[in-house]
Amino acid sequence: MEITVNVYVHLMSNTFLGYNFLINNGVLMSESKIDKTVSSASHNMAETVLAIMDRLAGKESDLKLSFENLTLDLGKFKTTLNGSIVLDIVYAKETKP
Amino acid sequence: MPLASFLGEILKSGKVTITANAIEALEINASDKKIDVKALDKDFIKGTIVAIKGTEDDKSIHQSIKNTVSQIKTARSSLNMLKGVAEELSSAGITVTLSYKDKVVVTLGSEANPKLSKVATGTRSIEINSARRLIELGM
Repeated sequence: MEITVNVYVHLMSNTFLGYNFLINNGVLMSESKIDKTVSSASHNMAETVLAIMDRLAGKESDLKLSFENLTLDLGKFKTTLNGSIVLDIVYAKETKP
Repeated sequence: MPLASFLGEILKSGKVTITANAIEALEINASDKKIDVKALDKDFIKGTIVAIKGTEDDKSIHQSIKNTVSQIKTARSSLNMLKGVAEELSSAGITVTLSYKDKVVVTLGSEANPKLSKVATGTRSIEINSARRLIELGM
């Protein structure tokens, strides 16, 4: 059994891209405590989202997260998100070799 | 740090809407250390709880009994986990409310002011505002 998840991201905030840039380039890595917390929380969140997606799979479901002036503050870094993320869940039958 | 406390710390203001199959299921409003989770689609909430608990949504009697026994076994550990989250929220000065049909169902964190529900939950950080709606949501 295979579950395919197509993720469409429609974020209008350029600051989100800036946030990814900062993470990817290690700018935020000096805050090791924040990193550990973010990592742990992201893991927990991912597990929850996976459980929901697993349940929705097979029902040709999609999950859409819409953000409206969502202000996040990670200590040194602040951002505002506007836009949406669509998790398009596709269910595929297992193919025999 | 639990997920709820972490989200409470980083979420300053704004709104998140979760839509499943074009039906609005959940609306989260954050402002000034207060997070209101508004349940819009009861079925989605019930399904999510089942998914998180890891129980099967099987309608057979055998499976139903098995699930009930399993739920009783995990009830205590779930309550302990919820207590932990609520107390973390409380110490961080964050309040999380769950509402359904424009009525607050449960309050977690610093602004929780439990009366009778303190006996059931064993903590001051969880206030059950509407037991009827809580059951209605399958919690």
